[in-house]
Amino acid sequence: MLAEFLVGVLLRLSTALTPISQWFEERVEITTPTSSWKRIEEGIALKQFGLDPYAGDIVHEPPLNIMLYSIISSYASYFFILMDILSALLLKESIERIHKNMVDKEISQECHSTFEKLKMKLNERTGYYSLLIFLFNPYSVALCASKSTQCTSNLLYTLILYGVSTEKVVLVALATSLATYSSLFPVMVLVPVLLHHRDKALSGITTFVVSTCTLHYISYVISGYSWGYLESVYGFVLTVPDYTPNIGAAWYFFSEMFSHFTVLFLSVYQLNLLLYSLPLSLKFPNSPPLVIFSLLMVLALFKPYTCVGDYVVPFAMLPLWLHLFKYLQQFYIVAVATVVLTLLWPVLWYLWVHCLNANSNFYFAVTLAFVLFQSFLLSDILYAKMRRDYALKNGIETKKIDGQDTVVTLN
Amino acid sequence: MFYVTICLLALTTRVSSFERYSENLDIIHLPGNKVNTVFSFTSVSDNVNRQHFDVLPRSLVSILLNYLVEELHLSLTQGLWRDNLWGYSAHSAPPGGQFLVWFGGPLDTINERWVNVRNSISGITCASLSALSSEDTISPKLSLKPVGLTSTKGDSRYMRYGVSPFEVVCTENLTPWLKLLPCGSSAGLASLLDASKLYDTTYHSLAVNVRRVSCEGCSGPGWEIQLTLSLVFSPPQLSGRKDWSFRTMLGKTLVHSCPVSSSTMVKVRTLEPLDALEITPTEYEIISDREIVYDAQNITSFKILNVYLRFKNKEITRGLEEKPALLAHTYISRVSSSSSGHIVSVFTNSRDQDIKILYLQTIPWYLRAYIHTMKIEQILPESKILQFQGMSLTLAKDRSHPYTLEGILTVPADSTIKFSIQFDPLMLRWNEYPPDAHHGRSIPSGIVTFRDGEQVLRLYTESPLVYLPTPDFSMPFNVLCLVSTVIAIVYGSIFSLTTKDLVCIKETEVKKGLLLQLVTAIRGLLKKERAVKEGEKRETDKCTVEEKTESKADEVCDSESNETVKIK
Amino acid sequence: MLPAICLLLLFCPLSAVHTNNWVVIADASRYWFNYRHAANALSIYYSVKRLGIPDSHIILMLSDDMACNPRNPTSAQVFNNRDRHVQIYPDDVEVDYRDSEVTVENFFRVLTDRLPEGTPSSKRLMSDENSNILVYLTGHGGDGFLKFQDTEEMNALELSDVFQQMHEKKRYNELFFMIDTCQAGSMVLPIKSPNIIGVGSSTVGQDSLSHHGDHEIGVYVIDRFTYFTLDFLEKVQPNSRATLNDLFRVYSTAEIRSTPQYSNFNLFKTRRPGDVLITDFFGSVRQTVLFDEQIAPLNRTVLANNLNPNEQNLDLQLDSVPQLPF
Repeated sequence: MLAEFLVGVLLRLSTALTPISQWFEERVEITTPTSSWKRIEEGIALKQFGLDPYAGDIVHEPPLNIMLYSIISSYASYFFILMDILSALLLKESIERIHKNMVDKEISQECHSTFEKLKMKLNERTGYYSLLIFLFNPYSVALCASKSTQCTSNLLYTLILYGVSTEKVVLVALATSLATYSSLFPVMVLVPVLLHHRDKALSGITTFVVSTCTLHYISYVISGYSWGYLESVYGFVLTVPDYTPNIGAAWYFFSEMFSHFTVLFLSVYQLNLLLYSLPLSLKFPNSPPLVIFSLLMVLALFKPYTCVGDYVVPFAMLPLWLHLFKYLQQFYIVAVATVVLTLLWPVLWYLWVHCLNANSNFYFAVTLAFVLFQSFLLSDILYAKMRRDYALKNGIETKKIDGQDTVVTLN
Repeated sequence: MFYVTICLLALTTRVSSFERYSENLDIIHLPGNKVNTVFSFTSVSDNVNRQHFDVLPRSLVSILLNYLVEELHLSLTQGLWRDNLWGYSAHSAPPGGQFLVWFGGPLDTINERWVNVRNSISGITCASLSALSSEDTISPKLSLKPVGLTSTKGDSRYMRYGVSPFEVVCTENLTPWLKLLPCGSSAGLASLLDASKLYDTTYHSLAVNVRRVSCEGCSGPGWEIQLTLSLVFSPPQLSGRKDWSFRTMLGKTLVHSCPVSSSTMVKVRTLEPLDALEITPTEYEIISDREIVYDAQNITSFKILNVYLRFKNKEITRGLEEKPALLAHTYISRVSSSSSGHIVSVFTNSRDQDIKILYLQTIPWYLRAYIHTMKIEQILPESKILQFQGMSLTLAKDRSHPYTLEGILTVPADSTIKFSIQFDPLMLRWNEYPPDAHHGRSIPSGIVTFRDGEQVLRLYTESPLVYLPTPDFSMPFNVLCLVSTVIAIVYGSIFSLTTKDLVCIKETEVKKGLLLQLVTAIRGLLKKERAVKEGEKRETDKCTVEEKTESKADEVCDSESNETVKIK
Repeated sequence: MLPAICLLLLFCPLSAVHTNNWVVIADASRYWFNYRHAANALSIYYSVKRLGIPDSHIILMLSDDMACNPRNPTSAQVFNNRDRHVQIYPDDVEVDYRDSEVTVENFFRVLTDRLPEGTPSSKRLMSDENSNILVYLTGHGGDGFLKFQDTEEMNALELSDVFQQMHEKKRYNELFFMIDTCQAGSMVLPIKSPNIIGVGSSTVGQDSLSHHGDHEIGVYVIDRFTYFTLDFLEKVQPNSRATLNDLFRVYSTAEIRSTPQYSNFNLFKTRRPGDVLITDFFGSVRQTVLFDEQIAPLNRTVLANNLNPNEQNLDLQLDSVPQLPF
């Protein structure tokens, strides 16, 4: 285990401290206007000049984050590597615990007689697989090398998972409020957790509200008693004024929008993002980790400024559902598509922006296809869970009604 | 008859207002067989708030009074003035259109007045300045101070400055500019201007400069309206000779001088000493060994003034006597593998004393410039990092105003320094691009102000072109449809998963999608049953959920026994 | 006192009552290879100026600069004929809208006079109910649209709506609309406002062709429809009695290789095209009437003494300011 950590650290050090990190920093797939390290440096420099960093349109991180990063700015690479290692540790612990909880819960359920054939076995290597995926995922290595602040967000997501695994709702609320403070949308993660632990819901909500208010009050104070940062940080993500290409579909969507309809499409788009938390929590009330996985995937798919780093934690959570893999129908195509499209991104970007041969439609096509295929992953996992639950309840054998064959369908 | 009327009007001018008009033509030899001809028409007057004008252009004055303008500078330039080859120009201007106004009056109406002044001036000069929007307008704090008298003590809030680097300059700008002159193009030095010769030049720059001055004879501070036209000709070389005359260079000769002009002077400045040249007519006054002047109103021997300069020997013309003290260039440097670039300005000091300069650079908002990447270093004779001695910075706001960077630098003696800043081009909305989007956009030229001896000089650097990545303009509807489809697919699948339950129904009651029905019907007609079944199996990859469920349920792996148990 | 003062009257005895003429000419194409569209527009501009309409009543919109284009071997000159006998970019040309100012929106705003405050009068169509207006458009078009600057389109229905707005705001007495593009008829057919005659260079489904090119300039210099129009106009003098029917007779399908599309002549309520003089639209005939008796000048005290009576006082302290902060 130590060996894996060492290799992971070495891998990150070798990419972060060499000139290739410069290449990663410039890739639009990895850094976005909300998570780019260059903008943090700009914010720090503007503060040193005595200017308000939010006066221009460059800085989109909240004031406390800027303060934190200005403290560690000379050791930024090491800081982000440390974040990654911490995330990996927390992830491993949480996944192990969640897996154990899932197995225990299943044993205690009443099931069909064929349960024995179908039940989950405790696999001690689940946490290990998760760790491997997290440490050696090229997305996460690139993220670390580019010093994107998505690393910090990933740490907060793993902290949320840790809270879920240890059933500490207060910790979940705290971590969620920190994550929401940075990027606004992770608040959805509270919904499944609170619905599941209804008795601790009140304390969860209070912790969330109190910590959010404290954070904002402190930010208000350190940015010179002004609320100007709200528009740059949250208004920016809600109104999407920047059309820098990224791996989502929103950039081209809003840059080709007819100005008359901008407000309508913006509202529908943001609503679509926030919409899934409640229905999914109601449909899968007993498995908050699955709902959290879905919400993180939805965030990665539809967040206005999304990057590959958003997919790191959801992919790392996949080993929790190894037992569902036999019900997955599109895993192969999703895996192939992920690899192929990842390789196509830099190629088509180069052709569009540097060679001026291709045009933006090529790049848009691959980013749209990527969103589509990752959405297949999400719906596939959810379907597989439902299918397996059905099999647990009703058995594996298909029965005959009136002598005719039957099939299992969604209805 | 026309001239008699003008003269009568001039004589009957009311004594209470004072107006004086003078014309000047400076002909300057430049190295490389080029000739710089600078026409300047200057009117000075005191109180202009009246109805009758003898020499001042009323259309311009009414704009100045209506919008409480105290100083106005407009220039329309085609070409780049080469400081390193030709020395400094008396009327420097950046390529394209430049418009600078100092206002008086209340501060809160300035934005509105700026728009109106721009529109009015674009109407009287046929320039498309109305395309200059507030997104390109700056008010720099340190640079571009008024050259005349103003009431605002140089407070930059009262000033607006904008540049449109792609402004076209053609005959339609010359025509109304000539209408601002009291004699128009029919008499005086302006009668030497012929559009087909003018626009064949290496450089031409049309300017209107208005300022308040104190003048003798005026009661109180007066107004000075100066119209200049600076041209760089390459006169045709007939049989290899570098001689030129008005007729060969300008295509016309001076027949009438303007009767209301108090002085019409034609000055010729050469690179060679006068004894190497022969200049006719000979009624000139010698100012120095390389400069002569004609008083065009007092030439009696010829009715027509056609200055003709002949070289006695076929000598190679010399270069500049003295290299210009400071040279400045701006360019864009870009590494091919990244979309960001650097705006780089290089300043060269060829004197043996340090020169302190004030440098102004405007960066449009659609090029995100990173202040923390600003670097000043000396590159020749040795490398060392330098600092700004004073700086004023205004950050850009998207779709609102550009970056204004002003810095005070000292360029050490005999050295070259480089200023660079990194930028990232932005992608804009599809309807925010100009009509010829693939041409790229220009960064306004940098302005360098410095002291050379007694005078304060202003240099303009190049206006580099940046290519912005463009979306596909023909695709808005398609893009919206495609993205909406993908979102609908995601939403639809999650919706059906959350609102439906898995149930067991008879196979025959399975509702097949319309597409599947059609396909199976067609295949049933065409192919054998076995092929039909395989076709159906392939169809299940994209169609209904239930078919796949059935095939998977057929082969359930028992985790313990590892054998496939066929259930059906 | 001057014994004879000329009063300028616009007086045309036979036609409907129009007292002034306005012309709006727009070239909607950009780029050097569309030289012929600029030549078309400038030729009409040249003709109407020659026939007496002053620049103050002409709004000329050119999307791109051909005369001072670096690719133009004849600098500051534009020709519409290989023989180059007429240079149509004279020294007194005034282009009101140029480059990126020529947009569909600006064109419509000019026609309906919904321009922002502060727009100079040279850019405004200040016509009234006694104005005869000539509107000439040229560029690339298709079925139901005209392409502006290669980025946007003017819809035929929008244009007919704008004409209807002009009618309701009484901005014209009679209007003559000429359009030289491919499928120009589609822009002419939807017109439903009264007192408008429209002629398009080709019907729906047909292309309008160019006439000939100049090998030195390297591009086609004139379109067929406009070439024959000019051929006719060159013979017209300011006092000509030629009518629109004479003009339409020139448009033979064999010569211009497309069938011109005319608007519904029933819309032209007051008279038939045979009664409409060419100079009603293309010229500005002014008859001068000489009076022998003296006429007293306007009472000068009615006018303000100052150009800007609102100008506040000028006892402001004016100082000079140092150019450099060091």
